[in-house]
Amino acid sequence: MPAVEKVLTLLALGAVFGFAYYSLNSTPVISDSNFTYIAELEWYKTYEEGLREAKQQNRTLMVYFWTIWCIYCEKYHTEVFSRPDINAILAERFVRVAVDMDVNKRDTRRFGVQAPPYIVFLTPDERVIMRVPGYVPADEFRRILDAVVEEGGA
Amino acid sequence: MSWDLLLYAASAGGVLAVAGIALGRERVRRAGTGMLFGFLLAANLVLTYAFAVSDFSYYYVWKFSSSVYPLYYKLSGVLAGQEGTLLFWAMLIAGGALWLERHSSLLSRRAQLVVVVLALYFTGMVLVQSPFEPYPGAPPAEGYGLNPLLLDPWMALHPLTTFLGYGATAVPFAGALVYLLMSARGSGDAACREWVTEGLQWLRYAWVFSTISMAFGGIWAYKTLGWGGFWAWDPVESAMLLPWMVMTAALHLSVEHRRNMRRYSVLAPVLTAYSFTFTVFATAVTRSGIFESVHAFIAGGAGKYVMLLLGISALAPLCLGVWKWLRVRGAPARSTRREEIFYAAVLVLMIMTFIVFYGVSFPPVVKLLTAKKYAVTKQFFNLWLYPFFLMLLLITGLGLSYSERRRREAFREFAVFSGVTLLAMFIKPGENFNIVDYTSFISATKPLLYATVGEISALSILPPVAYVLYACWIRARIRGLRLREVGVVLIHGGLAVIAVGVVFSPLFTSEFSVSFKRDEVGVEKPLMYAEFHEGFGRLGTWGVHTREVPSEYSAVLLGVREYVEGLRSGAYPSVSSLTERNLSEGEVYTVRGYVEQAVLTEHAMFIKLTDGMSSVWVASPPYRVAKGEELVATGMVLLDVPLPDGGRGAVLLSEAVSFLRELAFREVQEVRVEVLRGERTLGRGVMKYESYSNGDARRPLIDRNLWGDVFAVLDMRVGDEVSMTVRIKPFINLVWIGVALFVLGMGLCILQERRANP
Repeated sequence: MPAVEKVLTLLALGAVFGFAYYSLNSTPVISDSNFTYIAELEWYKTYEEGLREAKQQNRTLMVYFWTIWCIYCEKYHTEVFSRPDINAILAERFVRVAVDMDVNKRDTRRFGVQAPPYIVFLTPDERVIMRVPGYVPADEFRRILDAVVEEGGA
Repeated sequence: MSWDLLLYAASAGGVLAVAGIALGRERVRRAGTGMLFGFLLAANLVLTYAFAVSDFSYYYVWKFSSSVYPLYYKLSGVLAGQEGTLLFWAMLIAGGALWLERHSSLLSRRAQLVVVVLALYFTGMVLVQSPFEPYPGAPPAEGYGLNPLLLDPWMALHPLTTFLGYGATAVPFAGALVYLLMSARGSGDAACREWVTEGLQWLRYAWVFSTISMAFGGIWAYKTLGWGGFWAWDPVESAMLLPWMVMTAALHLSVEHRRNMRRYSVLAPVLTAYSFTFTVFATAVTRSGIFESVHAFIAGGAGKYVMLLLGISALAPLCLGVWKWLRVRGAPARSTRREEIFYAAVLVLMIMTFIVFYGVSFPPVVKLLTAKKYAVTKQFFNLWLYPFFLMLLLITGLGLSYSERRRREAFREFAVFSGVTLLAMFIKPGENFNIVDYTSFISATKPLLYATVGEISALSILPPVAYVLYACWIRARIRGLRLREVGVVLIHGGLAVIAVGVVFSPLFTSEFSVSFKRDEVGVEKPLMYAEFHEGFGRLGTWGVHTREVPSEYSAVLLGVREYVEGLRSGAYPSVSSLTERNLSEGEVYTVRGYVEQAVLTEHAMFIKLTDGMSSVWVASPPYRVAKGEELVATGMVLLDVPLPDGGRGAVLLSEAVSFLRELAFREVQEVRVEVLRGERTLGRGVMKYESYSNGDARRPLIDRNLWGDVFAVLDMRVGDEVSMTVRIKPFINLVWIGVALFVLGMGLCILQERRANP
C-alpha cells in the first residue's frame, strides 16, 4: 500500500477506535440491573418492586410505560419530567416505575397497554387513580399530577 | 394440494443446477437453473393471485389483506410480511443465477454456483415459514388486514423497491467472492476484468433501488407516523442505510479498481461483497427481534437462519480478503494525488458507516452482556456524524474539482472553503442555529465533546455545500457534458441539495397547536407555539415555556365531516342466499341479516335474522341487540332443532356475532383548514382521522410548496373539540429533490455503461 494511503488508513482506524471507546463511555446509561434513569430520577423497573416500595412508604405509584424508540417518550423525558416543578413533585410525592415495553412484557400485559407512552397512577393498595394514554404537554401534565396527588392523598 | 410443492420443485432444480455445475454438464445446469427460477416465479405468481382474489384460506393472505382494499393495497400485502418478502427475494436471487447463463467464463460458472446455493438457502427459509400455510380452521369471510398505518401508496411500494435493491446485491456478492479467490491465485485475468464491470453495473441497480426505497420509506414516515420527520435513526432505518453506504463506497472503489487493476484489488471486491452482507444485516435487525425498534412488529420465525446467513456472509469475504492480501502484497508503492483524495473520501464514508453500524449494534450487545441499556437516540448519530459529514463534503468538493492541471488551484480552493467552514461553525444569528440539540440526551451530563459539537452553528453546512456545487460546475467545465459526467455531477449535486434539506429542515420547523369547536367553521384563530421546537429546545429556561405565545400564523376552520366508508357487508352472504342453499348439518356458514326478534332462553340467546325475503335463527351467547340492527354471525349449522317460535328448523350455533357497524372498513373524521401567515395563505387542505377495525391512523394535511410544507395532523379526539398540531416545515422538499437527482444521475451512469459494454 502506498505510503500516503497507509497514513490515511491508520488515521481512519484511529478515528474509528477513538469513537468506539469515547462513545461507549460517554453515552448515557438509561438503565442497569437496578434502576432506569429518566429525567435524573431513579425509576423501578418492575411493577412488583415499585409496589413493594409504595406500600412501605405509603406513597402513590406512578407506572410509566415507554420504549427507547418512542418519540413522544423522549418528549416526556426532556420537556415534561425534566421541568423543575414537575421533576420535584415526581421526586417527592411518587414511587416511580418505568416499564420498558420491549423488555418487560409481563407488566405491559398486566395493564393491557398497547402503545407507548402510557401512564397509570395507583394507590399503594393498587386502586387505579388515573390512566393517561399518549403524550400530554407539560402544563396539562402538571394539572394531572396535582389532581392525582389530591386524590391519592399522597 | 399445498403450493409448497412449487418450492420443493424449485429446490430440486437448484440441486440439479449445483450438480450440473460441479459435473460440468451444461444441459443439466441450464435445466436446473431454469427450474429454480421458474418454480419460484410460479410460487410468487400463485401468492400474488391469492392476494388479488382475497383467498383467505391462506393464513398469510388473511393476515395482511382485506376484500375491501383496492387492488393496489391487496397486491402490496404480498410483501407485507417475512414469508412473502423471503419468497420474492429468493426469486430475485434465482433470477440472478439465470442471468449468469449469459456468461461462459469459469468465474461466472463459479459465481453461479454461489448464487444458486444462496437461492437454495432462501428457498429453505421460505419453507421454514411458508406463505402457503393454510388458515387454521374454516377460512374466514374477511381478512384481518394490514396495519392501517401501512395503507399508504408510498408504503405499498417501499418493500418492493427495497427487495429489488437487496436482490441485486447477490450476483455482485458471488462474483466478488470468486473474484477474490481466483485473482489471489493469479488465474483468469480477462474474465476478472469483465467481472468488475458486471459487478459495478449490478451494484448501480442495487444502489438506485435502495435510494428509492429509503426515500419512499422517508416520505411515508413523514406522512404517516405523524412525527412529520422523514428520518428518526430507528435501528431499522439505520440498518437500511448501512448497505447503501457500503454500496456507495464499493462503487467508488470499483470504478477506481477498473481504471487500474492493481489498485484496491482487495478492498473493492470485499466491499462489493459486504453490500450483500449488510442487506442480510438489515433483515436481521428487522426480523430477529434482538433490536428494539418501531419496526419490530414484523419479527418472525426464520430469524435464526437469517443470523446464520449473516455470520457466513460476513466471514467469507473477510477471510478471502485477508488471504488475498497476504498473497498479493507486492502492490504498487506509489499513488497519485487524485487517488489519495479519492481514498480519503472513501475512508471518511467508511468511518461514517462504522458509526452507524456501532450505534445500531452496540446497545443490544451490551444489554445482552450486562443488562445495561444505553440511550442511543437520534442525537447520538447526529452528533457523531455531523463533523465527518462536513469533512466528506469538503473532500468530495476537492475530488470533483481536482485535475493534475489545476492542482495548486484546487488545493487553494479546498483550503479557502475549509477555512470558511470553520469560521461558519461559530456564527450563530439566533439560538436555534445549534446543530444538535444535545440537551435532549436523557441524562443532563454533557460530555465535553458532545457539548462542543452540539454548539456548532448550522451555518457551517453552507460553505461545504457551496463548494460541492462549485466543484460540480468546474468538473462539468473540464470534462464536458458526456453522459457519465453529467450523471456524476447530478449525483454529487444531489448530495449537496440533500445536505441543506436534512440540516435546515428540522432546525427551522416550527410547531403550533390550535383547537376549534366543531361548529366554528369560518372562524380564524391564532396558532400558538405548541412548545419549543428542536431548534429552540436548548434554551432550557422553562420560565418562558411557550405554550401560550401567539405567533404571526393563524388557521381558519373550513369544515368538519364524519362518515363511514366501505361497509364490508358485501363480503358476507345474506340470509336468503344461505337458505337457498342445501344446508348440511355440522358445516360452518356465515350469514348477514337484520334482527327481527331476539329471545333469551335458559340455554342461549336466539336471534332471528332476516333480509326481508327469508329468515334464519342464530343461537349465541346473550347480547344486547336492537330490532333492525344488522349482524354477521358465523357458526355450525344444526338442522331440525326446536325453535323458540314453537316450530323446528335449522339453527346456526354462533360463539360470537358481530355488529356490522363494527365491521365497517373505516370511520373517518375529516377536517379542512387553511393556514395563514398574516393575510397570506400558506396552505390549505384536508386532514383525516381514520378508525379501522384493527387500529387507527391519522392522515395529515400536507400542502407542498417549493419553500417547504404546511403540515397539520389531528390530535386525539375530545368531545366536540377538533384540535390539531400544525407544523411549518421549510426546506423539506430539498431532500426529495436531492433524491430525484441521485436517481437521475445514477440512471445516466447505468445508461452510459450499457452503451459502452453492451
